[in-house]
Amino acid sequence: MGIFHSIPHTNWHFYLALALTLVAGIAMLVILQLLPSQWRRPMIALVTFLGGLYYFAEFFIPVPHGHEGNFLSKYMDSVANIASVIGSFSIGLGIISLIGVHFRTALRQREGWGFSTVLLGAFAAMTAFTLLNEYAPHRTVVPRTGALHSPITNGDIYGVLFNGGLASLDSAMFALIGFFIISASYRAFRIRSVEASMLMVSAVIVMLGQVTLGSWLTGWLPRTGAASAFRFENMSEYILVHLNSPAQRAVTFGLALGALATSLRLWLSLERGLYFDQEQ
Amino acid sequence: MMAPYLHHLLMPKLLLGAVGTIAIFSLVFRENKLYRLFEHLFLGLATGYGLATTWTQVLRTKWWDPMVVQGEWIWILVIPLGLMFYGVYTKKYAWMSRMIFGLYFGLAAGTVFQAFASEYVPQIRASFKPLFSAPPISHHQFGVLANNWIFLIILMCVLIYFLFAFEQNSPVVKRTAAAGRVMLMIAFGAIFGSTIMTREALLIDRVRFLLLDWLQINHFLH
Amino acid sequence: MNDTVWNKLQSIDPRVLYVVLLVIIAAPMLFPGMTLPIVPGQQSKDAFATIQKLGAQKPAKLVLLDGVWSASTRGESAWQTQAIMLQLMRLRIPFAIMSADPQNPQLMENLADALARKNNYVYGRDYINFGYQVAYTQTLKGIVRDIKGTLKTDWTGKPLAGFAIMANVNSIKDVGAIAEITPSSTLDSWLGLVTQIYHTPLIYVPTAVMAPEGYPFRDSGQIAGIVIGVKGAGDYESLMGVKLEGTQVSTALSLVYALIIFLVILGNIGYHGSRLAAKNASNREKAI
Repeated sequence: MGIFHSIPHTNWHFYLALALTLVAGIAMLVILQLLPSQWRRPMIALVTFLGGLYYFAEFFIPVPHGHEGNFLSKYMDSVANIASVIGSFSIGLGIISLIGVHFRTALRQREGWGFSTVLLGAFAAMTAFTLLNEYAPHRTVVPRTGALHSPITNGDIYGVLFNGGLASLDSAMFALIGFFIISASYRAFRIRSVEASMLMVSAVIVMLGQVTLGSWLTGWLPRTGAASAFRFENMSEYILVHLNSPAQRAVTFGLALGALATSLRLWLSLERGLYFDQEQ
Repeated sequence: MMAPYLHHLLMPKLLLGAVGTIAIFSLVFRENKLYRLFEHLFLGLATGYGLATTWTQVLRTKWWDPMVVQGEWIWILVIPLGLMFYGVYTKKYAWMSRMIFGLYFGLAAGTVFQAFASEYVPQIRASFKPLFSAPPISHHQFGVLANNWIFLIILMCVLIYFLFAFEQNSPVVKRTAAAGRVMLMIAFGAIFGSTIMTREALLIDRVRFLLLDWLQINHFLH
Repeated sequence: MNDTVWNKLQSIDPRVLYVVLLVIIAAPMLFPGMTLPIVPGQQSKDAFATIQKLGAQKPAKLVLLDGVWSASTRGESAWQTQAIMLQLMRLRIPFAIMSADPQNPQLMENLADALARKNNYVYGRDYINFGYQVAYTQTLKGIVRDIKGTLKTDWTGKPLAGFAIMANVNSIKDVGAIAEITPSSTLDSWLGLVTQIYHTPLIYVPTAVMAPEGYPFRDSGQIAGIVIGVKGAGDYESLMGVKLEGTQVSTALSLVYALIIFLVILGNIGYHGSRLAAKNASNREKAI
């Protein structure tokens, strides 16, 4: 933060500056709360506008000849860092909700409280051992005994929780969909119309073009020449490049214009709806 | 012979992963308590990991160390700003959380202009493909021109299908939009075919873990 | 044939299908001789050639691997990442890992460390991990002009300026290529905010479900190649002459696809057969 002169933390001025700045920050919040309520929506709109103004101005203000950016460009890394740090504070929002619900369930022994206890225990263990792995990965947790050939360290437990627990369970959760795709394809995919037929034909060609089975089925066709167009991998590539691509591009144009319009409305606080019209 | 294999099977990292995978997969046969146990375990692990890594990889490196170690005292202001998020839990201070969220909406919105120019202008430019060529036209050129015509027709048909700015009353526009819908089905078929690869690949990877990494079946068969 | 046969064709117990699916997936793993040759796709070849071209320049510029994936899409993203990392290591191209998911730094580091041991790659000299980045859009805007100032440290908290690999890397101008390894729509951010400024080659490495979205950008030349899902990983391995997890999965995938196509056909035969049978029965009743 180049514009504010840093003070070595060994100097008592540092702690004074910290304390005064923190008090000033909290005082700012108190003052904001005390302001008339009809000022709130304009203030939110102003902050939203200022938030977008920096990047808008940085993009549109011309770059002087011989330079790589204008006078705003040099602050991009600072803006990125500030946004990252402040944004990180929001991690607590989801955690408070999740932990709060399960903590209450466990405490009052409601239905499923055993599972809630497991969740809370896993949360505490993962947090603790991720931090311990960062700060003291080689510290022994369980010393070497007769049954253990080597001591168990913080890093070992973290490895079990991350690789054996989190990564494996996360993979398994998403792998479940593979089963449901099979039953959905069998039970729900019915060819009832021209559009459904087109969809199915296109899907089958793309599917077979993506796997070795398709290459094997049409492997007898020559790799070059007119007949090669009927190899599954070539048909699949043709569909993706020449038929799928323009359709996707058209959809993208529509989405892009919508996103631009919505972003402009958000930036200028023109959006209406439940969130934006809440009682102040 | 058995002991090293048994030792491998019971390795905590592998055993937890294998039992967890089987427990999660048991859901496809029936909802059961083992699945729910591992589901809650997963949620707890994921939440804890997210919290810890936010500290170790973001807050500590970009906020705490610059503030405390390098003496950049101004970073303390992040605390009251960050606390504004938590106003959402109270009716009295909820408006403050909308202010900080508004800042982030603004930051994201401000980048959209550059993103639109950089991302979509080349797309528009690339859509103007050559449709004619001076004769004599070679076999290869004919193929390229034919593909360019197909590209343009599909692009226009699908764009017209998505145009809601005016009523599509004219029979020409209606038929073009209907053709656009059919062409969209081809794109959706391609997406469907691709979706299956992802979903099945994830499942195959888990089965591979169970059979090859954990049970090491290949050592017994070969 | 009466309509109950048609109904039976449509109503096989899903649990039977799941068991058949598991057996089909397991078969190539139990019998590794069951393999079909891989024919690399054009998109994978283009991506491969981009990195090969970069490797021909000495000293090669840093490649930035942006990982957005977590363990949930490990079955595709991990093998894609592994294949690309192996190519980079073989060509002695330095690379940096940047992550937009909290799990990703550890997952990418696991892969990099395992390959580094076999390829004599040293952390800090040949590769580096920038770690997890929040405020993704703002971070991308920041690294265009100042990578060290925006990212500050590696994932263990050590200042970037202290690493040999970062000696000549200051902005995106000093990056030779970017590989975006993602299961979601993050391509827009790179195209919109980063790559078009200095025309840095971008290789799109999506899970297969996101791949069709990349083709319009391939057509306009905004991306240099697409490594599509686990098939792309298999293609890469084939181009490098190795057989790793991407190749192992491909045969099982072929069999699963065959099963899906068979079941769709079976279900539709049952559906249309029962409709036809019902229509015939109704006609007979009308005739009576």
